[in-house]
This record gives sequence, structure tokens and C-alpha cells, in this order.
Amino acid sequence: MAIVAERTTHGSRAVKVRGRRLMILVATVPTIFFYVVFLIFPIIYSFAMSFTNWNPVSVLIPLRFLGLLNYTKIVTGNLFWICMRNTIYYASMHIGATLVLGLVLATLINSLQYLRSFYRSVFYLPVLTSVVAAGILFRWIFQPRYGLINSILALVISTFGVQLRLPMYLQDPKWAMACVAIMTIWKGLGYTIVLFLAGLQGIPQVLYEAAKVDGASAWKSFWYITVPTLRPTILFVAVTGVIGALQSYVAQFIMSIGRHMDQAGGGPVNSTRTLVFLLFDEAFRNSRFGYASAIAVLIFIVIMSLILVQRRALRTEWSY
Amino acid sequence: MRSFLLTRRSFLRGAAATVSAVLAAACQPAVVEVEKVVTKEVEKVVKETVVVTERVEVKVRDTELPFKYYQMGTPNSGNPIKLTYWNYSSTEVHFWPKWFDAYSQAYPNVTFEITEVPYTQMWTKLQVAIPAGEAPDFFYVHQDGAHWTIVMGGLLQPLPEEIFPPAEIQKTFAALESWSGPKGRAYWLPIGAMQGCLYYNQDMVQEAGIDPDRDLNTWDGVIEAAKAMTKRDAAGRVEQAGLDINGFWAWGPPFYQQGYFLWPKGYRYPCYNQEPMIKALEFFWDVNHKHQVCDDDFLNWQDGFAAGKVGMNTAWNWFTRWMRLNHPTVNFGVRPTPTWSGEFAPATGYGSPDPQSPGVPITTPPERAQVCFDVIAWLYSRPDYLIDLSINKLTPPAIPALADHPLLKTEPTLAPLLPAAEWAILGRGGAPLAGGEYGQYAGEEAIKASGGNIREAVAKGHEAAKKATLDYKEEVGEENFYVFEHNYLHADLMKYPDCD
Repeated sequence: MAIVAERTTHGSRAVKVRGRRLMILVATVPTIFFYVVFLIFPIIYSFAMSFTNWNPVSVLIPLRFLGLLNYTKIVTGNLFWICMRNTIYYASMHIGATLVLGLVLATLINSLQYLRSFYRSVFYLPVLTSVVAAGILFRWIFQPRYGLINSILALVISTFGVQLRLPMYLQDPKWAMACVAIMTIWKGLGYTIVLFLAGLQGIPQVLYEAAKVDGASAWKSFWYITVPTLRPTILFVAVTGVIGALQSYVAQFIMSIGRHMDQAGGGPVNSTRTLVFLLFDEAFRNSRFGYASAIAVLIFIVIMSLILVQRRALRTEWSY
Repeated sequence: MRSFLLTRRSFLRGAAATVSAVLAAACQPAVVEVEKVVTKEVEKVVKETVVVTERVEVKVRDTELPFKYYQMGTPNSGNPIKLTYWNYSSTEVHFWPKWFDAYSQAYPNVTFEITEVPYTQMWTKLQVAIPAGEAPDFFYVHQDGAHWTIVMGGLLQPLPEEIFPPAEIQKTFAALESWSGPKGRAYWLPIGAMQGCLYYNQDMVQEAGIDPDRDLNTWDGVIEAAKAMTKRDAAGRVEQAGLDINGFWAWGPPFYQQGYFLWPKGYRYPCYNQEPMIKALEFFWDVNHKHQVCDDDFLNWQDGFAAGKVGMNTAWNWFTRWMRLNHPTVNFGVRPTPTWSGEFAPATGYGSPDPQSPGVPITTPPERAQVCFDVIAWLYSRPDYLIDLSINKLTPPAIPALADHPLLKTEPTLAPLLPAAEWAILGRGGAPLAGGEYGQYAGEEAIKASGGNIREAVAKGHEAAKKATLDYKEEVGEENFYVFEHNYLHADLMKYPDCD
């Protein structure tokens, strides 16, 4: 009788183990399948194709192995480095402003007794706006003659009789990328604020009380308590910000000029052309998918290197 | 309190149900259903829309085209067949159903399912859909969107010579040779002569006492008229521009009018670095900086004209349709692009063969492709259809046999362009990469940024375009590189450039 009971127990345990394995299989196989098919395989495939003249749209141009020719052309050409400079310039502005403004505004909102949800919602609203709609709106805001900013400035100038040449914004190569960054900062700030607010609400109040007892000023509390304890959030915002900014393309496409004749935007004079913009043009306008794959590999290397540097710089090894 | 923990069994049930649902969704032809609904809606709209049909109903058989329709028996042997068709212009909601219905009346076993795809998405969708075997039976071609990639990539079937005899279609469609594809075959039919035009605001022209027919034929005349129409505010800034070319320096007309091709004999690489090009760009620079009939910070050519703040602009003639659809209250007129001498010879500039015909992807099975080609031949051999297409697109046809047709002369924005149509160079002057590379240095923005140093900009642009062309040839192979500029109807009046 005891043996039968033991066998039954043993049997039901085996069924349980089998069931658990089946469960793991059911839960993970689809994910792994999609991950391999839609992520790993395309990455490997596009890396391999970056050494060829791959043009999947053509059945006439034979696939040829080019060795490092695509890479050589890219790094010795002018346009890649212009796009690299533009991308880094944009990423620095976007991430820098988003981090600083996001942290400051989140701290201010967090310190409010009332209307906290209201401000959070107000700042989050642009996140819900379509980037295309926002881009078109900002194009009008930055229009040099009839746009919102210069209309106000012109009014001020005429009132005070000041002689001042107003900026051309999106039509000026020196200003254009900054204008795009202003739009994307405005649009993305709400997301960062929400992240920082969540981080701020996780900081134990006791730390601030202890600092207050020790006579620390508000600035010192912010600098020595808030910032260090928010380091994981800052790291998250910075890493995702770098990835997003280095892959930025839509805002530049919508807001840039130079979309006539043989050009696809990115102007003036390529000042808003980013690396992904270049990649898109080469792949879908010029059908140079092999060349575009090589650009994609280089973008991957740049993003990976920056993230590794960032992780090292913002490494957090303590807890409270 | 009762807990609602997810048991393994219920999870597995849920997962199985989800997978089944996904599979069921994937297997059912949802898109087709949606398209059917859309088509039905379109049909409903078409039925309810008051369409000006007089143009079509007038039997225009007085001008016989060299290209004749050869009936190859009843399409699909009389068996029912529904052809799928993609079009990229949603403004033609009545046009294609009307003409496809006409074909269906002739051959009741053939029906059509039309899908409207936005222009910006059409070509990337087709580039994916054709290799994947999910393309429609046929689609409306656009020379810029489809020719370089889809035709030159070998993804379109050539027009069968038994239905489209080469000699006949060559005689009918002036730009056919320039827009041939691999192996010199025709893949679609170029119909129009979309060309550079001068648009003017009727009210402003009248106010300034300008007679468009007399005063707007030369570039000098245009500048004088622009000066008369320009108005400034108290601060001296232009508030009404006489001529606005901001954002659109179409160098083609003033360049080609000087009688030089862009490409040398043999199409080695384009010669941007030539005096006629410098003269053309200097003219554009002078509009704002010497003649001061517009400011750099003023609205661009399109927005300014649409807002009624611009006396004249230069544009391709698609602008007529755009203005009518989006800004019907602006009272405007159109002239052929001005020239240096006032004459159209040796050329008025560069044009495009828009509108065009449908094309048939290589994935369309032979029995269906045969019907598609029959539809194309049936339509494109009919003068009434071609005239309706031209009027619908508001672009003069580059079809010598129809050049003087009275129906075309009844359309006020089309009639003035008809005499210039044969003087537009409808061949392909550009090449992949070259134009973009050139524009980096010698485009409007670059020249403005350099403070108007045109000679240096053109020299740099030329070198960049030359390198890009040679690189591209190396990449795709000389045999896959095509440029046709020298097939121009009046090529005998043009000179070939020579450049390093």
C-alpha cells in the first residue's frame, strides 16, 4: 500500500516536472522563434550583405562579393562623416537637454503639494502627439518671415527700434539641426519627466530629513542625495536616449528642406541629414541595400561603443 | 478573499486559443475583404459624384493614332476574371472606375478591383510586394517612383510586341525611346509632356498692367514684370513678391534653353561644370539678390503663391492641379516656361513623361497578364481616353497626333502649354546619385550658404557627381547603367558638352 502511494507520489511529481517543462517550452519557443527570425537572422544577413552589391529589388543586377569596398567608400566619402557629425550634434543636444530639463522639472513637480498630476499630464501631452504633426507645426513656428517666433521678435524689434537680423532657422545650416532638436526635446520631455518622477518617489524621505538635520541646503540635498540615488534612472534615460537619438530620422525628414529635384531632404546643405537618414536614402531611394547594410553595421558599432562607455561612466555599485 | 491566480492549465488554454486565433487571422483574406469594401465604397462615391462627362462622351475619333488596338480574342477566353490594380492618386477616384467600367462593358467577363495607395508608399510597397508575390495584377507606373528601381530591376514585364508593335507605339508616344528599359524594350507608355511653367496671379498681373501673352515670354520680361508686382512694407521687406523661386531652383529650363545637353556623347558622366549651367544658376541667384523681387526669408514658391502673396513662380505643371484642388480661390494663369530669346527652339527645358500607363509586374501569371496588356492596349490606343487622361492630369500629351486637338484647347491651363510640349527634353538627364551629389554643393541651399559663389559651387558639385556616377557604374556594371538625354526630338539643334 505504502509502495503504491510512493509510486503515485513519484508519478505525479514526474507529471508535474513534465508539465513545467512543457510550460517553459510553450512560453519561450514562440519568443525565441520570433527573436531569431526577425532579429538575429536579419542582423547576420545584413552583416553578410554589407560585403556585396546586394539589390533585392533587381533581378537583373547579379549579386557580387565586393569585400570591404562598401566600407571603404563609406569611410573615405564625405557624406558619411557629415551625417555622423550631425547625428552626434543632435544626440548631444537632445540627450543633454532632456536629462537636465527632465530632472529639474521632475524635481520641481515632485516638490509640489498640489497639481502634481496636472503638470505631469501637461508635460506628457506632446509625447502623445504624432511626430509628423509636431514636425509640420514646428516648421511653421520656425518659418523666418511669418513664423510664430520671428513674428514676435519682429514686433519687439519694431517697438524698440533695434537693428537686428532675425535667424532663418530651418533654412540656415547653422540653425537647422538645433530647431529639429528643440521640437524633439519638447516632444520627448514628458516621458523623461515621468521616469524621473517615478525614480524620485522611490527615494526614502529619511535621507532628506537626515540631511536637513545636518544642515544641508536644498541644492546640496539635490546634488548629494537626489542625483546619486537617481543614477539608475539617469543611466536608463541616457542609454535609451542615445539609442533613440542615434537612430533619429523621422523628425529630420519632416522638418528638413531640400526635398525637390534630386534631393530627398536633409537640408539645408545636408545639415539635418543623420546616419539613419543616409541609410534610408541609400536603401530605398538608390536601391543600394549592400551599401546601406554597411552603414547599418557602422551605426551599430557606434551605438554599441557609446553605450559601453556610458555604462562604465554611470556604473552604480551601491545601494541604500 | 478569493485569489485569481493563473493556473498552468488555463495559461495553456489561453495560449492555444491565442495561437489558433492568430493562425485563423493569418489565413483569412482580410485585406481582400477590406479592398472589396473600399472598392464598393469607391463605386458608391463614383455613382453619387457628379462627374463632368462631356469630354469623354464626345467621340474623338477624328484623329487616328498610329497605335491601333488589336483584339486578341475575348480576354481570358470569356471566363470571369477580376484584375487587381494599384493607383497612387486618390484624387482620381472617378477616373479609373469610369474607364475600367468602359472596358467591362466591352468585355463583361473582366472586372476590376482598384486599391488607392499613397504616392509616398506606393514604390516601397511594390518593391517588397513584387518579390514576395503579393503585387497587384497591374499598377499605374510613375517614371520617378518606378522606372529606376522596378523597371531597371527587371520586375516589370515588357509590353508584348504582338499587342504593342514597336513601330506603332514609337510613332505614337514621343518619349518612348527615352523611357525604354532593359534590352531596349518598352515596359510602360510615356504619355505626357510635364514641363516647366510660369504661373502668375491674374489679379496682380492685371493690377500691374501686364499682358501675360506679350510680357512673360522671356526671362528679362519676367524680371521686369516681377519688379512691377513687388511690394514692400515700411521696413523695406518684401511683402508681395513679384517672382518667388525660394525652395525651387529648377535649373533645367534656363540651362537647356542655351542649347547644350548635360551629358557628353557616350554618357560618360554628366557635365555640370559648363558655362550655360553657371549662367542659369546666376539668374536664380540674382532674383533675390540683384533684382530683389523676393527675399530669402519669404515664403517658399509653393506656399507663397497659394497664399496669394506672390505674383509669379516657376513650377512643373502638376502645380495646376494642386492649386485647383487645394487653393481654388486663387485666380491664376499659366504660361510655358519663359526662354532667353522668346522662342521655344532649341529647347524649353527638361520635362517628364507624366502621365503614363499602367505596367504589369513579373509576378502576374501569363493568362492574367495577357488581359492586363489587353486593357492597356484598349485604353492607350483611344484618343478620347488619352485626352481625358491629359485633362484629368492637366498635362499636355507628348503625342504628336493629338497636339492640335480642339478638346485640349478648351482647357485654359492646358492650352497655353500645348505649343511648348514638343520642345521639352523628355529623356532622362539625371542618373542615380549624381543629382544628389551635385546638389550638395551647387543646389540652391549650398549656393546661398556660400554667399553666391556659383562658379566654385558648380566645380565642386561636378566633381562629386562625376565620382558618384563612376562609382555607381562600377557597382551595378556598365551594362545596367542607362541615361537617355540625346533622344530629344530636336536633338539636331543641341550641342554636346565636353568636360573633364
